[in-house]
Amino acid sequence: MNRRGFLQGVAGAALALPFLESMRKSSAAEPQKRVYSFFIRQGNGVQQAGYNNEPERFWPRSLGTLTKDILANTNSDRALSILADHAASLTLVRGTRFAFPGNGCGHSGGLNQCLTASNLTGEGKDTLAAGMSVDHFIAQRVNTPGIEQLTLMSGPQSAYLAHGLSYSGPGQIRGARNNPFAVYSTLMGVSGSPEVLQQIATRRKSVNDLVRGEMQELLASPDLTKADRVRLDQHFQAIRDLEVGMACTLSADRVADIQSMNTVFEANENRIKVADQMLELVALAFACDATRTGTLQIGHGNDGTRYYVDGVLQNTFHRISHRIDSDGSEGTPIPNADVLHHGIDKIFAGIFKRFLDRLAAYPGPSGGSLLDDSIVMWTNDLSNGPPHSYSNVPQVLAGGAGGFLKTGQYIDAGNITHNRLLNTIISAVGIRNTDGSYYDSFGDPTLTKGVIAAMIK
Amino acid sequence: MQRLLITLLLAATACGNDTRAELPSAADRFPRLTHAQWEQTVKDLFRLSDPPGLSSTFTPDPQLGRFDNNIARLSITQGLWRDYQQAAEVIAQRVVTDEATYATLATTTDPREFIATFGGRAFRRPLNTAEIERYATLFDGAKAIFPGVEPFKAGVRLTVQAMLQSPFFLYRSELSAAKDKMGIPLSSYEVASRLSYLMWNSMPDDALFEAARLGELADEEGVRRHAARLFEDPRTREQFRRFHFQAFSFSEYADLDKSTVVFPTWRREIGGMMQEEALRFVDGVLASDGGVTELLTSTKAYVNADLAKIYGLEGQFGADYQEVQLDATQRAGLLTRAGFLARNATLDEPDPIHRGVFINLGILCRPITAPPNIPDVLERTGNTNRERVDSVTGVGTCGENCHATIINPLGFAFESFDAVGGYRTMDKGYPVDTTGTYHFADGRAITYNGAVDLSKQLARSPEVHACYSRQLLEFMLGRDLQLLDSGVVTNLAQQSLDKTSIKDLVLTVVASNTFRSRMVERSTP
Repeated sequence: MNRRGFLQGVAGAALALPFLESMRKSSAAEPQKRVYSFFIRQGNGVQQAGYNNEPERFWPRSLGTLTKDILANTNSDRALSILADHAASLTLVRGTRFAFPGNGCGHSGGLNQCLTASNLTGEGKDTLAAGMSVDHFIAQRVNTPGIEQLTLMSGPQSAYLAHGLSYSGPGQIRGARNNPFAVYSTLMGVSGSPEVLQQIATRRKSVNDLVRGEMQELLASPDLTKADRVRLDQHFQAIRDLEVGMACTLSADRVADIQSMNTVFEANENRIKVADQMLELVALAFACDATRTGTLQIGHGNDGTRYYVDGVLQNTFHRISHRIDSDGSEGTPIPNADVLHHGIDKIFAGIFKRFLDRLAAYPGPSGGSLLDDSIVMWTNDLSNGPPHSYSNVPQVLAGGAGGFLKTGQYIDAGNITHNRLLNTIISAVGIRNTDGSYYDSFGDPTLTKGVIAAMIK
Repeated sequence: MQRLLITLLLAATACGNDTRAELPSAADRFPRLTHAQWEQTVKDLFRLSDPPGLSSTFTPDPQLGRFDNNIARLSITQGLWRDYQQAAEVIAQRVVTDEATYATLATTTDPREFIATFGGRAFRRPLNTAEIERYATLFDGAKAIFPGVEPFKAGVRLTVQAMLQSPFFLYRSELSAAKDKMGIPLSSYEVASRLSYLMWNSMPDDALFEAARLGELADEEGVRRHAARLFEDPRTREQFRRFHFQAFSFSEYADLDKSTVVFPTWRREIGGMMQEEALRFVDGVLASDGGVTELLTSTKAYVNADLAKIYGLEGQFGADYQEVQLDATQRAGLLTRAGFLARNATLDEPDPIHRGVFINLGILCRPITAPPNIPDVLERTGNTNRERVDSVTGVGTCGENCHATIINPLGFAFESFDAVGGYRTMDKGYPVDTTGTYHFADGRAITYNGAVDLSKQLARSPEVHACYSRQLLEFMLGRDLQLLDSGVVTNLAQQSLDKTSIKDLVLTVVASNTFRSRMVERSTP
């Protein structure tokens, strides 16, 4: 039998067949308020003041209240001016830093701690985070059991540090999906009569029961190593009898557009388009409550994408961020590299803006927009280009988290470690210490605890 | 020599991933199928002409360990479990609706016989009575939940759906537990799977299953004999392409940018050609029973018109690759090939630092202390590329300790190759300087003039053979090496130094106790 006769691949068969189950969950474990969170990583720092007399082209001119006019006009030369339409929903936080020095590679050190606030193990490209990331922490507490966070990237899988943002535990990197159509396939639900849905659920249940039995016998083996046990138990816990039913669907033309990336999603030319499609799917997933948190890494570790700035294909972003035609510390200077870096920052601001547009267009559970019920962050694993500094990391947040955040402002956190920003986000989605106070101890236990009070209403 | 190799091994172990000992340690009892293995296994299980192509949408594995089959990568998250569930359902439905495939499965009308036959292939070992009964119950229940479907067909469908989600399909489970004084000997079926996944990235074929049934894989001689048969199959070539592709980072060749001002005929597609050339080079070494020495010294190449131009070859070349001999005064082995040279270069200049770094890490397995974070751009002086690199990283600079002694001397030997891998004798009007002296970790030194000389001396260096052996064994075992593997590596390295072919190195490993048994717990460094 040939391949065509057997399967059309996921593009044909899976779409046509009603075999994908809903991630929609029952409302039994609803927290009082549903708040969605998401984390987007830009690599290579942003072009901001602080290096070699380069002018400030990222942050607004002054701290305090943000309005559309302030961003669009007073700060039209800054990358963040792109977000002017959403000024009232923004929280711009300068003055946070990563606590731990990179082990030889600033990129891996920053990537591994930007969402974990944990210490690092290993060296250079083998660096791993010693703790779980904030998306996983949140998913375990606000998602229905059996429903994962979305772990996404835009870029090639084989590249340096293609994964590194999301950790399920110490040293346990989560693989990131980079094909938007595959992501859509997992979001899309089953359509069919109640009888058909019931049959699918019954078959799954009988298969799951059998496999659970096999897994339990394996887990009961007397001589498993610790790693064996962790591996099998993780698998065992993943087996769930999820409800089968309708879930999230997009219009046919949007599906066709996403499907058109099915074989070219890793291509340099599609980096931004894939990122946009991923975020379109994130907004969709939140709108139908398929999952409540996730991450998107755009580009690999030291993003080597060649972006178009002012319509011209540029050198790799990594080299532009180094200001020289080299991935190391010496090479021929790239003319106007700081301006090009700023141009790329504006591209990322555009990606973030379009994500906010989508969230703002969906209704949220508490009556306003989905953006009002979300807290989404555009972060970075470095603060700037050549020095690869970990101080004053650009942290751009949007969404009111259901009225929790005091939005529409630009604050200086005062050179604190960024775990406190992550604590604030965790608190914003409704997670508290056992005594009911704001959650304050995410990340490495040696870090100063607490939230950033100025962000909270 | 033996002592030196052991010292090297220990050094590499200690400097590599020692901190990872605190992280979940690898266990070699339940390696999950890689996505590539899943594809090939489904193809072979249902005797299809092509892989189903479903794994392209599976949750990707994170990059842990050096090779894609490292057990540290191979866990089942919630997302991947859902991918498996979905794929199993799609396949189960298709195999019963496609008459040709269904005919190969429904060779009996007895559910238990079907379960034993198909299950034995899906689990890659015979099922025990309890397992057959468990699946028979499932099979029997299928007719109620596939209303309107012929009961036997319904049973086949549900059984396939379940078996493709079973841990015994998804993992290459090694359940043998009885210890002898060498470790835990694997059963013949477990050895068969190790062999077939090593050589073919897929499940055993009928002949290998039969050999397991007859107990022919219980001793060294039997394993060696069957391994030699597997080696002749074209799928083995794919596997060793896969190994070298990862060990030598060929993936990085495919996406290269060069200045079209300096190299007017450059096109992006040439990077992919360089990758193909490198793979064909590896094929050639394997096919001619070559070893590590040939990898580093062979002048044989496989070029098309674009590559012939880079190598300065005269004659008629088209889009197809043809075998040629390169100028032995200019080229010797992989490190003098366009892919390696162009990958480790900027848009317009050779990059001796990255050339030197790769040789240290990838050819010598010599750890390099990671560089400090990038300082301000330094001002470079000098006429040639070498002088300019030396001016900011050489003796008397902050790079003195690493660059001037360990990295640059290796990289400078390749200054006779430009940023696309073309041979040159002059750099900006000045003669290139390709001389150097490199000190190995134990203090021994080699002095050379040029890449050919260096490659030949590397091919005689025990460090190079130990490094290749480490990587080969890591790939063959699908896990990070442990101290207890050092004896095998030492043996391999010595054989490799004595010009044993890669094929014979592989056969040495499969016949070894390490491959035929499961070692006990990971040792704590």
